[in-house]
Amino acid sequence: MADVTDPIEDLVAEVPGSTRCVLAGSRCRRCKEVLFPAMRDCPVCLEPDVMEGYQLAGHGTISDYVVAERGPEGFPVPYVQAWLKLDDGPVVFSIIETPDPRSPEHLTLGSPATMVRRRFGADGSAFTGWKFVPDSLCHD
Amino acid sequence: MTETYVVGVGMHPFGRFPDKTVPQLARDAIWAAIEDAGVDPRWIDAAYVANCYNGFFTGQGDAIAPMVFGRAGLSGMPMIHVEGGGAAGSVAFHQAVLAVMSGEYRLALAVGVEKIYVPGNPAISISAIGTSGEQTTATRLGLTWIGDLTMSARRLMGRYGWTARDFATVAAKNRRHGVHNPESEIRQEMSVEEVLAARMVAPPLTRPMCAGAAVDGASAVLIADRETSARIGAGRHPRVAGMGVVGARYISNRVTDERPGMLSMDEAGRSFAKAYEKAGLGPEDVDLAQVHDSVAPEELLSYQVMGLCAPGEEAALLRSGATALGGRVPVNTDGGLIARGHPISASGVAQVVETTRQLRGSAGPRQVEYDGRAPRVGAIQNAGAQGGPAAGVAVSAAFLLQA
Repeated sequence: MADVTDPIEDLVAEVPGSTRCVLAGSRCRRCKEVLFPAMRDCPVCLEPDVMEGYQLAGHGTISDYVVAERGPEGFPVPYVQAWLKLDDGPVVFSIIETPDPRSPEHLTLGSPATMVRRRFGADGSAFTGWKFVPDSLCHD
Repeated sequence: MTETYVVGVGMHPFGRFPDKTVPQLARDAIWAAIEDAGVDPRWIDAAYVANCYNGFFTGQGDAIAPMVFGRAGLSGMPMIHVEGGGAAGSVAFHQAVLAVMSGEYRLALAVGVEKIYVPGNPAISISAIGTSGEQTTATRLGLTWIGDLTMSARRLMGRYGWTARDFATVAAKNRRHGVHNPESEIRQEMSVEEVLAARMVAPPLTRPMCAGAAVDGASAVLIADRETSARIGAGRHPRVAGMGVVGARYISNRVTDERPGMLSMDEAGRSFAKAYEKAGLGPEDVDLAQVHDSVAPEELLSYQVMGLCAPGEEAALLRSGATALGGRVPVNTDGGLIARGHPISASGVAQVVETTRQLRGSAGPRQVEYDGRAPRVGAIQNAGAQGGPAAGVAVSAAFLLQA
């Protein structure tokens, strides 16, 4: 079972034969709560060892976003930070990829977006994570 | 259960002190509090110190309490280290009050001390502060504290009619308050227009709307039971009238789609309900408040969660001048996090220091007065340390001090 400190590489995967991504979450066998990042113990029914692996579809809607004009090392500014509500329930953080981060054209609250795999970090500490692309920019 | 009183307060000024260590910063605040109380330090029978980043910067992550208190010359009492991000100082204060309230100890010391500024390396300060949130996928994928708070602020602007000008008004007000505080990091005024025109951090927040956290400082308070309090000094000692310390709860994503209002304020309503009930007081009794304004929008939301106004009336309350010095219920009278500075663990205890000074009538040029008298009830709000599935704060604290 994945924990929050596990490598991000193991959390996101492309569905074979498509460009769609799935995210490794978990679901409670008792109350059916779906969580990301994955957990062993359910925070809703407060039962230990009741959560099992569950694949979340890499698609959701934009709940909140902001244009970051300052960022940590390795994140060239400006870039768009956002919280997205996944179709399966949980809320995840992601950068939103748009042609111009300062243009609000594709950044509408509640609008749909799709997860894509992207490389992060510098050589040596590089890893594969995800970003989201507004569906209004997807052409496939 | 005994009543508890704040009988002594002390500070090391907040600012940049690259030549001082954590114990050196702390000893100034500790001895200032002991001298302020006029108490024999041998009477101190429990000591708590809040510190978050000494381990990050020096490798000494444990035994911080004996290092801090020992190097101030103190010995013999239990020495306890606590953490909790921006709320760490409130945790130290809360534990010290509980220790005395229980009857087990009679005079307890609570200290907050932090050293974050590193000359020429602002990035390492941001990294240190980042550890007050659990390192999750979100932080690795580019989420920042300011980004997260700004996302919440942007949503609340739509809900409550707040504007960027309101945020600038909070910043300008708190900087104006800081001018009168010799222990404040920033003591220069800035107009609303200058705040709006300053460097953008995350629209609509500009740099002066955010507290500086690459800051060093220390603060200390002494808590005594009724009998000890009566033996100390001639002045009146504010009583700890009510406390409400809670943590964020996980809410199922099937119950709500909504993300929390603003991290630091989400549980503050619960905290204040508890504190008001305990104190037998209500929002109408509050004469002044110190709140967690790490970004200006948090102060606006604090008006609502403390009950100073109805939801949606925050900006009107601010614009009326009620929360500025000279107004009906001044907020962040020492400059708040925005001007006083935010050396993380030292902030919570500094809120108690300022409230105590105001209630004693010893706050100098920033003294709050009503018809020539000092205020009677001071409210304090603070929160910090984030993580877990609740994605909320580990500690949300509300305190009510009463003269």
